[in-house]
Amino acid sequence: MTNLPDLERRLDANFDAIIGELTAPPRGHLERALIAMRVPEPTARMVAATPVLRWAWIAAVGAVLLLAASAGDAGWDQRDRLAFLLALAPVVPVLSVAVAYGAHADRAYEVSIAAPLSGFRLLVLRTITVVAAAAALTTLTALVSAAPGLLRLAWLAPSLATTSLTLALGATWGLRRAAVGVALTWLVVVVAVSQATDDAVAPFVWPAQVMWLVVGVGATAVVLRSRSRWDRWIDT
Amino acid sequence: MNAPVLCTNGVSCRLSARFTLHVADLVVGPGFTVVSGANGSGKSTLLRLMATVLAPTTGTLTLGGTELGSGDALVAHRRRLGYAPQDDSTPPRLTVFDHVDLVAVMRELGSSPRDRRGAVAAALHGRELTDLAAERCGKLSGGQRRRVALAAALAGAPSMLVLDEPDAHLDDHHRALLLEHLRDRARRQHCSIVVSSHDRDWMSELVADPTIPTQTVSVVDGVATAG
Repeated sequence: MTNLPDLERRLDANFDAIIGELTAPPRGHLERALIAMRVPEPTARMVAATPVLRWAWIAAVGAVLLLAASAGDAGWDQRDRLAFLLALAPVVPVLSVAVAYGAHADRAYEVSIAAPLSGFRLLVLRTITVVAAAAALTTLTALVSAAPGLLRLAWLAPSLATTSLTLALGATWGLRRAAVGVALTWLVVVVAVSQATDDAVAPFVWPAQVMWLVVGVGATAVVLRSRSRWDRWIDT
Repeated sequence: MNAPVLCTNGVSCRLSARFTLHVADLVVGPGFTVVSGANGSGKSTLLRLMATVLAPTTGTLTLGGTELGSGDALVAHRRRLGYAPQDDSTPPRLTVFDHVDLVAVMRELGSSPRDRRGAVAAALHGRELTDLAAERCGKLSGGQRRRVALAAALAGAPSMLVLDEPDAHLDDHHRALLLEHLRDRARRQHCSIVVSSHDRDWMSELVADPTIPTQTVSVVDGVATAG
């Protein structure tokens, strides 16, 4: 039989729950869409609250990619223009991840560290969110750039490599430092390979694609192995 | 239910080449632990250590005898913790309800979203924020944002509270309301409450009830000592 204090507690909790539903503002479009896709409600809530995921950021990323796709002068052929976009596209998710997680990006970062939710889970959720948004924009840009065939998707494996490398190094260096280091290294490698082969798209065709895939998978394994580092407090 | 005791053992925390906080061995149990000290003395560093935001450079923190390194003990400590840092922790673009609810998600409050949102509503009601639930945090005054941060920390009745200058920016009415709420938590729920403030009168009033265990911690030039 339920005793009186227990009943009182349950009544209070039910009353609070009703007030909660009446008090809460309507959920945003993204959150509702995620819940409709059967994403667990707490996960949908965290994804929708990703600090960088705003129209201003989406517009900025889209503009940068479109500029990259249309860059160059009259002397550039279609492959040169595409190479420029392919070189820039893997940098976008790297920099997006760096600005989506950390004290510089989120006023509630310190509160989130002191919470029991895994820091690694939060990092992965935010990474997937911004990478998915950046990937959608890059795909659209590549499709409208009238480039030849599958080469339009040649940024996928390099993006996996740069993003996972950033996360792997970020556990030790900090995300922003890792992102800048990986982005610069990526651009130097692309320029060097293009110069050495005298072919602007050489860093993106199949032998290189295999290498980016191997780097991406290897770095992802390192990220998974070092996941506990993201769950710790801030080292001093 | 009594909260497990948090202990510091030979803890220091080096923030820069010029500043290291040294903490005398402290025992933080149910009741008030009142932290006082001048600007820049290291109060916030001490509170961030206890909230497991900063890791000790030397020494250990233990909870009920188990070291808080990483893993289960750390998660157990964070599950029972409500933390309000000194700086504004409210994202300007989120609504009041969404921010407190997001913190509640990260604190893993409630056995269901419905329960969690109920706890959020109760916390907002407690800080007189129900009417502002749909407002964006960025549109609120400093005092209102402070109340939002406090609601996020107090939601779900955690058994340990670490509150860094919780009375800052609050008007007299809300300072009194907070004071009564914290006393009630300490008295009825045997909550461990670590609190810092520059307002001596408010602190004196907070710890005026002789039935609530109280210890004071002074932080002077980077050295924190009890008493």
